[in-house]
Amino acid sequence: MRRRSHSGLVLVLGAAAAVLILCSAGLATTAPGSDTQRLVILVRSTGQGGLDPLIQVGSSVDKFIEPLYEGLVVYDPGAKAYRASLAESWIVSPDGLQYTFKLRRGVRFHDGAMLTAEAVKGTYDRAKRINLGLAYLLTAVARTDVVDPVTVRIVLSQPTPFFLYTTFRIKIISPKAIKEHDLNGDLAQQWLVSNAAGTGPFQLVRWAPEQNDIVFKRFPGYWKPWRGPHLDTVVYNRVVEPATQRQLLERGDGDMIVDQVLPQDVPALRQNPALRLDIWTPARIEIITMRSDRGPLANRKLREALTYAFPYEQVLAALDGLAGPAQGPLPRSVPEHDDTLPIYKQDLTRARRLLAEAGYPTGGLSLNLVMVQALAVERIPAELFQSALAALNINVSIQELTFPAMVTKFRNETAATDMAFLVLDTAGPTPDRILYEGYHSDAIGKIYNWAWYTNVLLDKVLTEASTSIDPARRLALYRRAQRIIVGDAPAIFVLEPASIMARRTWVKGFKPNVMLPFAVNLEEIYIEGRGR
Amino acid sequence: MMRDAVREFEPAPIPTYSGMVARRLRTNWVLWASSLIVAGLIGVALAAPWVAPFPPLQPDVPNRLQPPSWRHWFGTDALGRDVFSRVLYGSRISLGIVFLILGMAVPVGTALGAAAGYQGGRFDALMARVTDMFFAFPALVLAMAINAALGPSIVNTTIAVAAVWWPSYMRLMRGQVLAVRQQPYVEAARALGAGHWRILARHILPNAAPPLVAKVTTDMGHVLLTAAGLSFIGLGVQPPTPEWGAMIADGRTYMLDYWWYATFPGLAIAVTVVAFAFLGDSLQEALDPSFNRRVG
Amino acid sequence: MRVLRRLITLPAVIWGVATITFFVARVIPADPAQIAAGLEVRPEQVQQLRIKMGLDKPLYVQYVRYLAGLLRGDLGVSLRTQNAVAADLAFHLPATIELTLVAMCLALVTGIPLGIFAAVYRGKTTDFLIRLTAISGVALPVFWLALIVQLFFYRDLGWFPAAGRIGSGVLPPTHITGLYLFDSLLTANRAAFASSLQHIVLPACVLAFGRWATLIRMTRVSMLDVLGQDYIRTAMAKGLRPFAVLFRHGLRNALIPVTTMAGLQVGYLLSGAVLVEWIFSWPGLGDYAVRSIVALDFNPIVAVAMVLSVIFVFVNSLVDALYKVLDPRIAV
Repeated sequence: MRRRSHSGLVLVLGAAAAVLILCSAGLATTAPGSDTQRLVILVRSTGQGGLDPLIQVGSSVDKFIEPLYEGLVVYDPGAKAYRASLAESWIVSPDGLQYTFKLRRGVRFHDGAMLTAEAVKGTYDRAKRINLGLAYLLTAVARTDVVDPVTVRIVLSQPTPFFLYTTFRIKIISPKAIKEHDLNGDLAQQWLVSNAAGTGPFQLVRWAPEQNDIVFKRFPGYWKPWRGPHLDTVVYNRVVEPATQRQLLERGDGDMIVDQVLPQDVPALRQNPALRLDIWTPARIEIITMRSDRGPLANRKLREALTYAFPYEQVLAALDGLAGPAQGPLPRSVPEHDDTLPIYKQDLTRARRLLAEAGYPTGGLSLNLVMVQALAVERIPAELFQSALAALNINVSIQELTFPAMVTKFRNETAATDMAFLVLDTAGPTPDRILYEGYHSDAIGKIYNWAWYTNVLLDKVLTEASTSIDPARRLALYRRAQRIIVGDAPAIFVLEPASIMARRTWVKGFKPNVMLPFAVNLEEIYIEGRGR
Repeated sequence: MMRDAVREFEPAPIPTYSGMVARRLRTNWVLWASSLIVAGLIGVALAAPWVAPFPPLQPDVPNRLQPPSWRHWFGTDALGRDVFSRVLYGSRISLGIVFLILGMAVPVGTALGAAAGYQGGRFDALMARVTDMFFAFPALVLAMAINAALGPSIVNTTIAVAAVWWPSYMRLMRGQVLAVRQQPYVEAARALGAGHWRILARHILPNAAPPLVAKVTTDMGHVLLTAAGLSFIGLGVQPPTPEWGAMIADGRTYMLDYWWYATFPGLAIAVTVVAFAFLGDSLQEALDPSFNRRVG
Repeated sequence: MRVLRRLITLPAVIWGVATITFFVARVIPADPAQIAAGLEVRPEQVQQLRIKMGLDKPLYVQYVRYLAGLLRGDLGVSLRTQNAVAADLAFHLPATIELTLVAMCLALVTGIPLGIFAAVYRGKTTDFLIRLTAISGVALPVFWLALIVQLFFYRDLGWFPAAGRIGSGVLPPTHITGLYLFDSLLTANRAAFASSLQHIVLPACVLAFGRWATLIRMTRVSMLDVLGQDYIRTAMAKGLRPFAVLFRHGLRNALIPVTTMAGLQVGYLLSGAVLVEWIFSWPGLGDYAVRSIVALDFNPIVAVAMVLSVIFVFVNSLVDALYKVLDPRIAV
């Protein structure tokens, strides 16, 4: 009796163990039938939902849209200039109001349609009609004309010196797809959420960002000839937790992590000879906005005191050199950046003096600082700042919110509080995205002027600069704008965070992207000497 | 409810109940060990400012991410703060939250449960539906929604957890009342003209107290885990407050190279939960009037 | 009868949960139109979308519209994924159910014998050790445990994969129930079955370990009850060993705690799986819910709350019915 009941238990446990061991046996399942020298497995977290290149904006989708779609021109961060892409050449009229693009011949979309002037017009008109996402870049576009099948002319209502940036960001979509997949006049919005029809070097095989893999394959009909070694298949493996992403890379189950690697992982990854780290400074800046229209921080002296109280050196040390000091409101890699501006250092004597001048000789005030939930790159500076101000008898309460909640809060006049942590990027070589959206009074309550900061002179300078077609004059105006902003201290310029990516050493040809930090140049990447 | 029904088939409590409980309390070493740990935890929480070797909020960047040593028993965190001191201070916050949540949920739940069981009828039916709804409602979703609506704060998290926790007390209490209400001696008391309050206070509450005490004790751990779980996903205390769940969340991304950062707060939670669980179990066994017949 | 009554009130419960979540969600101080339009866009664009989404209407109109949609089975569109919420749920819900079921089975298969052991050796070291292990399962922070398990079985041993539901390059089985293991068996898809089995092992084990505490405790208590019964004493007096007696006579009683646990834990397991899903990149409902909440995406939040409630009520009705079968003494 006893024997029998025991054996039952043993049997059950044994069966469970057998199942476990059994399924561990056939573990090595990579993509069947594909040449591993031409396959790359990129490890990524979950991004935004859709793929529509007009509507989906931001660093979480850039990495998917860039290999699939192309604009008329492309920005080359190395040369700091725009290069031909779908347009072979372009001419700007002297008044800066007409851009005429000569299209490349023989370019095909992934669905077989040909690139024509009609296709370009179709994309631009679609953007104007949908009026979401990147459509705001097209406010100055009066109309798009088809001159002949390979020539398209875009007519602007006012001079827009950064218009080439727009033609870089607006990706051309196949007219056939827009027409065939139109659902109740939505111009294929629904379809483009999970499908793609661009001209890029890779085409979409599978899009299930939340479920499992995203798969791209090489587009054989790409207009640029494929030379040398290259990839055939790209698999984006969904791995949410950074620690898990790292394990996949370390075991070689993933070839590259296409999300930001955490600074704390850098020392260990650096020591691993099988891995290669790429660390570079993209056009991004971290700031703390200070509400300058009401509340205690309306006092400029107090704001200035805080900029001197901020523990810059301590923060950079705590981030292990994976960030650089900020110099004024613009990141250094933006061409208009003014490198004569001061680089702040913590100066508590000066901060105390300014505090006294501001009317707080012994401190004794409370401020609120909002930051994005659980983001280490923000939390370390925030907590060190909190502790530095505590030494001046200023109490800072930190509140963590999700980014959408933060956006809503700081665009609302009564809800917006004293200080907010904010990361601004340019996503292209234009200072306007930061200067106009962050500091112009038009951007109050709308975009990123979370300091609710107004300076009439600055507004004038920025408006003039953004419509001035004389490069020298424009440069002078932008320099002036930066100095005005630094003088008014509506924000603490905290640091320029580094971009960190990690890959196996067998992944060759990767070039860091200064403007779109997570976009990977898939068409130039190849695998050499993969172990297995 | 099932167990209460079973209990109906057993004889009424034997007269020497208190003597039996006392005997059991004396001989149960698990009970003693766990109460000792719980007492120690509460003591640490109260004495944190005097026992902690370092201030819990003071950064010390040059000494960041140090492994455990004689100076820093539990190592230091990303800002160089002493993890041991933060764990000690954290006990105040974490245990405080637990007491606060149960302080709200238990009175509300038991009062409503007693009322529903005693009153019966429509009120009982209505309460059954309401508790169904609250039971069915995912705690996490409610906590997140409340936090999202009112802004993340420890008070909001406390309210959210209490809001999903009271129905279990209401059910327990209702079951107890139902079980006792049918007993002959209660019927007798009623026949003798005892008022509602008297019956509740003299006959029903004393009977319901032991399982209630046991459940509260066991729940301490569960509430702690729930609150820590919410802190872990960023709903709850705001930095730099050293709450255990939040500390684990902070240390999570450092686990691979700096194991101590998240492990020690995790162990603190584990020890606390285990201690409360064993204390609750032992109390239940010691106080359970129907337990004397059993083997062992 | 009570079971039927309970199922009849299901619509009321759904309505209640939908209403609470709807209003709680609308209190959230975030503008869904803004989120849908993207955070970079201009106010005019947002306003345009607000009108299109019907958010310019008074709250009660939105509420009535929402309920009307629910009646048609329309749960709205997720602003974050841009898919119909129903379609999202059709993927994420089976993922979580699959994980939950496997974890539950693992917990039962291992937990019940351990609970019986603990009861038989009540008060002995074995009892204490089993209970200590059981309670550790719930007391150790689940993410910590998950990560340790992952490090050991994936990084160091390489036995099991660390993330996802199915291997890269293995196509998921044809969608029938959405449970990969089940679907791949039905379609005789061996590659998909092997791969999804490998992937479910680690997360399911971690989850199962967390379920031990309640299960072992309940089994132990009910076994102690059984041990005190006269027929068991008689059986043992006849010289049979406790295990034999228990397995023969006691298992029926052990089904009661199992049933109770199933009822209690289903609701908990679904939401309790969030952190495990996170660490193992399991694309389940918890993961979906957390992401929706972080993105302040209303429709999925309401839908998830509702789906969980329905499952909870449903399973508990079933549990009540089972009680009746298992133990006629219980007046349900």
